Amino acid sequence: MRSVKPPALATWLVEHLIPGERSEALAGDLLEQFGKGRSAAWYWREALVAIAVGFSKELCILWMAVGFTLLWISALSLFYGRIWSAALGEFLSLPWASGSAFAPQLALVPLINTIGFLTVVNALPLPAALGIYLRLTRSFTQRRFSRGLLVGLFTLAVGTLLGSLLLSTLPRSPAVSFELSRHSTSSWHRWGLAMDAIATLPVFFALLLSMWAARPNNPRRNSARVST
Amino acid sequence: MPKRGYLGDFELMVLLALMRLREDAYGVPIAREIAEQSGREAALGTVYAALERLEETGLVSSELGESTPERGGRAKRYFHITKKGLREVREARRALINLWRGLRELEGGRA
Repeated sequence: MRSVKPPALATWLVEHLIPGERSEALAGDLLEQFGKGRSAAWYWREALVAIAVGFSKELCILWMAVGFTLLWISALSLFYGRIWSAALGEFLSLPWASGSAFAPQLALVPLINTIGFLTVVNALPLPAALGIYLRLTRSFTQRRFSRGLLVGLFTLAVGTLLGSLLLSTLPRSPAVSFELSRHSTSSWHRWGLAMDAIATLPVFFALLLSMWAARPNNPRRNSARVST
Repeated sequence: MPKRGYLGDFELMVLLALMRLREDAYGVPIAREIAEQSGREAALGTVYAALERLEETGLVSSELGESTPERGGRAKRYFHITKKGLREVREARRALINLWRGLRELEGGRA
């Protein structure tokens, strides 16, 4: 005998796992069809197909964003990394940055200065990367770009803060001779690698999340018109 | 790089179903129309995914309709083909007719 009530779990999954605006209309369609005599098996099959289709699209967008981010970061480390390191070395040699976040004892003002500096330096290529990505995917709008940029900058600031705090736990580096010393011994080499990773990861995640926030099928992006 | 892409088979079917249904084009009737005319079942999820793609490219527009008790209070979403969508369908029709014309293999109903 056919169940009178539709499978509640399948309805919940459709409403919560399908990205975009179609989840409500789709759930309504499934309920309407179930009321007209469709089986629970049909209901489940339709729900699972809809979820799979929705996820495949999201995954496709995510992999495109990951691929683009990796390419961008690679290019950045080749052409921008040297400038970044030199700028950081110069910055750390300034008197007001001495005893900075890279010292075991945290000093608040130098820490804020360092985070601000790193965020600004890392943020410079972010608008270009986001703009190129949106143009390549033919989904550029001012609104998406602004949303992505805001998310990216916020992520970058938080990531740089965490990275700086993490760096402060590492052995102290001679700030003035940062660039020269990083490859001189194995410990400095490790310090340099950690430094690179901590400098690169916030940029990676900032770029990735900014693309994710600006993606074409962001559920909060579209406004629905309601007919009267 | 081409200025615009080609419509896929299924997307073209969805657009044609929208044109046939006119004002009553929401998920269930669209899927039913495709199934009846093509002889192949169309899952609602794939229909909605195609509609979303078409809406993103401006070939289709949508609006929320009434919510009814049999839908658990959930609103219907009605879809309409846009002028751009109509142009694309005409273009696809013209291209397909040109490609079909003069093919001896397709004449007389033999494979």
